[in-house]
Amino acid sequence: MSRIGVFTCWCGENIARTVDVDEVAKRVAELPGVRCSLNYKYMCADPGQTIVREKIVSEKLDGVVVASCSPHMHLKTFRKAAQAAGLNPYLVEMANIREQCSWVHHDRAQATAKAIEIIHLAVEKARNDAALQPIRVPVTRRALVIGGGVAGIQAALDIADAGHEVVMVEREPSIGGKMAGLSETFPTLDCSQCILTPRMVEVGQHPRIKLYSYSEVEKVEGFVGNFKITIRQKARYVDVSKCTGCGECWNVCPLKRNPSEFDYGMGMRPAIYIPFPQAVPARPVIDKSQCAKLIRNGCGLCEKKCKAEAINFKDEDRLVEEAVGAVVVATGYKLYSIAKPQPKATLAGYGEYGYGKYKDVIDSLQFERLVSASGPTGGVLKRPSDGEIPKSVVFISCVGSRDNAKGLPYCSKICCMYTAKHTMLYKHKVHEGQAHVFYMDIRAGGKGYDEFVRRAIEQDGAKYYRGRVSKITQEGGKLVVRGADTLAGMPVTIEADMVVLAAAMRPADGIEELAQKLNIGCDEFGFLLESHPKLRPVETNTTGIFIAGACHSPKDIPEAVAQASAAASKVQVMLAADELTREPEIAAINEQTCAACFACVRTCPYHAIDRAELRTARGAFIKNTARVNPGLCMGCGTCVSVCPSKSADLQGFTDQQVYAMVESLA
Amino acid sequence: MSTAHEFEPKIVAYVCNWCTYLGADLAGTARLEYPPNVRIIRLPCTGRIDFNLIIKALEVGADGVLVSGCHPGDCHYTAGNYHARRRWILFRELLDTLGVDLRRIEFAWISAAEGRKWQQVVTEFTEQTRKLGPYKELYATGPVPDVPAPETATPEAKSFAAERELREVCQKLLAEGTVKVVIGYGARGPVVVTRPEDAGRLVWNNRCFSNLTAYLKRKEIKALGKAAVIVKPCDEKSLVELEKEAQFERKGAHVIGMACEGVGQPKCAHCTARTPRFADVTLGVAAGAEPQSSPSPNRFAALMAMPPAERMAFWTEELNRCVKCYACRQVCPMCYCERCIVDKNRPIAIDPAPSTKGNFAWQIARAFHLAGRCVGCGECSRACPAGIDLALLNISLHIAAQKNFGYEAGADPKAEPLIGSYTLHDTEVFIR
Amino acid sequence: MSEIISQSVLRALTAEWIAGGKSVAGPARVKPDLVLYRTLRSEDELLLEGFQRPSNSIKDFLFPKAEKLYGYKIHGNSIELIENDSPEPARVIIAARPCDAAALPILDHVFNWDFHDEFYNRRRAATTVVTLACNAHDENCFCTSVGLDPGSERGSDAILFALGNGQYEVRCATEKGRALFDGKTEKSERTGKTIPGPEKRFDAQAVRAFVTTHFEDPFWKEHALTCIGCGTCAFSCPACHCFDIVDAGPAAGNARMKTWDSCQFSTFTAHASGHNPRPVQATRQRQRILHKFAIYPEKFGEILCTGCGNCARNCPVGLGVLGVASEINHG
Repeated sequence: MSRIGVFTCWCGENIARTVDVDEVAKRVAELPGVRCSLNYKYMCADPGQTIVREKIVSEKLDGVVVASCSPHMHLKTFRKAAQAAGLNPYLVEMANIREQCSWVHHDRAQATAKAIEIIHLAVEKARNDAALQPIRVPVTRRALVIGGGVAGIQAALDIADAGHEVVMVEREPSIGGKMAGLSETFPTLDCSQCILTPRMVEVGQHPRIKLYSYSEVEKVEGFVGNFKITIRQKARYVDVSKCTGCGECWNVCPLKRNPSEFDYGMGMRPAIYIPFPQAVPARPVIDKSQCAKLIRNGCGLCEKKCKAEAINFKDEDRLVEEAVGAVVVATGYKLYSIAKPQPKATLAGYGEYGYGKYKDVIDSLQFERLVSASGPTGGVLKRPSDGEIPKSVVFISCVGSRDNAKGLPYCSKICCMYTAKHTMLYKHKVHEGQAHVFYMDIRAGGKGYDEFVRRAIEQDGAKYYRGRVSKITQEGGKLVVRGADTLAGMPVTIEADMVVLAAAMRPADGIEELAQKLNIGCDEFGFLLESHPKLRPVETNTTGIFIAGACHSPKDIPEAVAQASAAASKVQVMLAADELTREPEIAAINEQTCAACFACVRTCPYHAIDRAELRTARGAFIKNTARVNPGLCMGCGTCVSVCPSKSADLQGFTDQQVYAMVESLA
Repeated sequence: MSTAHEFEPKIVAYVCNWCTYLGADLAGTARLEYPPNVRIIRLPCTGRIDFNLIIKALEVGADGVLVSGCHPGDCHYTAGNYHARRRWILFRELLDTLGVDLRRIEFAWISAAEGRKWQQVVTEFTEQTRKLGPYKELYATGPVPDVPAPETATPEAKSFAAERELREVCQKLLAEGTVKVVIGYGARGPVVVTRPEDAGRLVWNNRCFSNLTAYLKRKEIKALGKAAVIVKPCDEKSLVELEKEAQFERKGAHVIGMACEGVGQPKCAHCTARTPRFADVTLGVAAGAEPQSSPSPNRFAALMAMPPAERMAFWTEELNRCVKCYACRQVCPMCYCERCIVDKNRPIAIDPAPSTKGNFAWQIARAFHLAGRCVGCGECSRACPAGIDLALLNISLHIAAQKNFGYEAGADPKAEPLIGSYTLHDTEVFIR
Repeated sequence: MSEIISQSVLRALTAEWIAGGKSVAGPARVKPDLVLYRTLRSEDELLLEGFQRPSNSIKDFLFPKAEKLYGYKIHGNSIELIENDSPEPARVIIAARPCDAAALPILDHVFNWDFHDEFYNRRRAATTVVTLACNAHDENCFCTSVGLDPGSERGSDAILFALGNGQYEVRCATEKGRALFDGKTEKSERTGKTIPGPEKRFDAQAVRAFVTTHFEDPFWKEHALTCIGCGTCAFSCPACHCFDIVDAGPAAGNARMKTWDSCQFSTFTAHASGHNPRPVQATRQRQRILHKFAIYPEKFGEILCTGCGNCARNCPVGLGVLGVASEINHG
């Protein structure tokens, strides 16, 4: 037998002016299951809440309905009040007779009749409420950061400084990401490495950061608070505990002419190498596809030379397991590969620009290395073909971006800014040089950004043509660039010494496999999906996994850093206690009646339902079943609708409740 | 709500908590007035709104039902409304086939910012429903239109040529222990043979109606050991869908496919698959005319050419004969739930009585649960002792699945099941 | 001397009964290959020849598939019960088969045993059964195996015998029958004859002996493997009478309903505890045969079967009581 207390609020005049609250209280008292019914001027105020608490005790109520404003306003308020009086908060419901009744109708009789029916609905719901308990999920108070670029570094430092251990996994031999290879950054023209390397060192030396470099995430198991990560530490063939980083090995290596990944092919490196001098860890790695010893048991000079006996040609990949409670994915980006044949016909490359054909047609990251003080040319802008200093350089924007026909439809956001930056760096190095920029629009929306671009044009004399380039050919030692100036309304042909293509930003290689391992979503371009584009930009649909940086969408360094700190703060919320509490209004499956068709498993947007086995207490197999993970379910109820046997139900919105509500309208 | 003189429509609205409910709240905050006929039932997400809620609202006498949630792409739970939309597309087609007045069920996307849209939708829908009047036509009887009955031939039993080979194959399978049991056809109906010497009981003729894959779910048969099951090409399609739903493992069974010359059922005239595609062993040679494209529009087209009120009268007449023997459910290989929705009684989901309401509720549930899963074996219609043209309901959803999603049950083992998947481009035409 | 009636007079009488406010039920063609007993809207619908027997039985009218026992209204915290005591219309069932009519005296026992089922009794009292003796039988008929024959008068208020040329001999067995036909018939020398019934398919006593002594026989398990557990046999059987009682709430009309139930449904014997003493089809099939051939005869002295063959004809997988009993007998 139900003992529901119904408390009808006047809300001052807001309800009482239109709804006859006395009549409501009187008629509601006659509804089945209602133990007491009264009205009061302001239920949400202290005296009002006191009335509720007192009635709960004096009338031994087992359910409460407050007929007042929207549950979005005060459901939590009244649930707290009920809890204070010893009533389970999930036995409290609200009937919205203000926003959805008194405020939208003027006829007193109609509004009163409707209010009574609205309350009847709520009473039926309350009669079928169950006393739910919050769900507690134990938490391993450590975090994993995948990716050691600026976003990963920021996130790792924030979390570690907050007092939690961080495991960082970076697949390159050193952390630093793309930012470590940039020369100067906009809009300040700060030296990129100068601002980054102190952070890199901090990560390398932080007592609470465990860095797995030259490693990748192999497998992810578990769920929020309880992830088990298997990490593959790739064989370096160098024992980092013995190595001192003296550099003898890479000096003596005879195989020096391997294109450097860090320099994007603009420079060379030996087979045993350190990617750049400020690498963290500052330990070399042997490229097993190039090393003579590893391929055909020749050479071995580095081993002979190494005083620390740190070279180990017998090294093997190692699998390590780490337990963490939260994950931040910060895997960064790569540039659209202009020359290579594209996997999809729509990404057709831009062969007409001659990238890969003409040595002096390069992309923006390659340009960064050429102007970088620690780059392969020592910061002197020597063009790749003959080492000459170019007197005229053409910069082409939007190569691969904003192109529905044969590229990617989105804007890569940073290219307008770095192209302007490139023209300035060029001018600062080659005073008599002339920069030409072919652009579609200038997107310079950040703090100081537009001023920066104007500086490139007005102070550093960059010439900007609003138009696209149709073709680049080599004629008489010059790169002939044929484009258009749509503002002047005429074609433009420039004989350039070098061309720099602002290639589109894409997520890093392997993102789709990683996303699958983590059970998070990617969009059609591979960028990781956030939970809600406005309100939850660093969370994913998989509780406990967060994203930051360019793996989410094209962005610049300030945004990547801000997002990384945002993700770190979300991680800190998660790791704040030994247990996570979650709202219990989630799905539950009757495993006895479940037909194990797994429609719910494939429907759940949060992958919160797994295939499982129902076993006896002794472990004997009974049947297959679907099982909800209470740590992940967000309570949408989509599983309930697809379940053919009606084994899935949603606590707080059960079939029993909803049917009782509908049937009260008969 | 109604006075003695004026009809006030009863409108039930199922809305999602995060968008439409907040939109309705916003209408309140902005004091946008609308008629007081709507009763809102708040649910977390449109994904939670299953078809049965719409039926229940109509059963309790709602004159109009409004279903509303977040715009696609904005779902608070990311994908709940995509799943809901897919179900709505199919469910509307089923309701249309039954002759339910679709003007009485309104779907809308109303966001938390669209207080004005809430006001508009509710006002217009209430007025429209008021003009339509009380929904008395639901399950009403009336003059029954002439819809052609399914053509069933009951020919003289004629053995097919592969019968002898089939017996030999099965005898060998049992004798060698490759399988422990053969599920096949006997003289009067299906037989389950466990001894090699009983292989002679197996027949293969033009009266081998049953879809034997329906026996694969039986615990007593599973307990006998590895089974060989004999399938016609139409039955074989059931295996494709059963496998997608983790009910059948190809490795655990021996599939004997029979090329078929037809068993005189309505489906045979429109057969497109005369030869099995995935069997472990295929016997026989398919003879006969070139297949037409399936499923035949004849009966269905005739039904849909009638106005909705006549369609409803047709179905009321048909379904009033239903006795709830559940033969349709038991012969169906896709109905494998041990606790069927009709057996759920706390709360009762489907009115269990064989009354008009109860029969409609059951057949709607059955047909809808089979959307994208029914392969058209037609056993439900054949098994019905009351001669109800059940297959018409399944055909309507089959056509809906093809038309809207290019999906055909049983055709492609790699295709994602219809329910539980969605695309960003599922039809939106009917959603405001 | 016999009383005879022509088909046209019979049809005219039927029209009279309908016009006079009686509910008249008889065989009608529903689909090209389906004949059912239905409440007739006009005498044209009455089908007298061209089929063996309807696929359902006349119990539909005495023990309907869904019966409202009473309604209820909830007022606040109290419940008002609304009795179902609407008067039963007078009913005539015309052209019932002997195997249908013979089931009524059999059912009378169980509906008046420890409790007088007022719903059944009301309808039974208001119904007059006019049987049409069979002039053919098919391979599914087995009335002779359970002690009946194609011309049996058991349970009939009047029985018609086809004489050919559209003429029927009318034999009235009760007051009710006489009330319908007195003064409507003509005298004649011709009399109808009961045709020879189908060959005995099985020995009912031998079946009874087997089922009472072979409870654990593997026969049940083997035999029941193909039974799909639907309600077709029970629902089309003139003698089966199990029912369920359900309160289904406002969406179903706020009534307590009595509905047909089938012992072959998997939940037929499911207990509230979750235990089910008949968990597999074999136990349920066994129970069916036991009930019909052993338990009911022991209790009421009647075999709970009239050999109409509906179960065999309607079973989607070719089983039915005929199949099982034959197998038991002939192995």
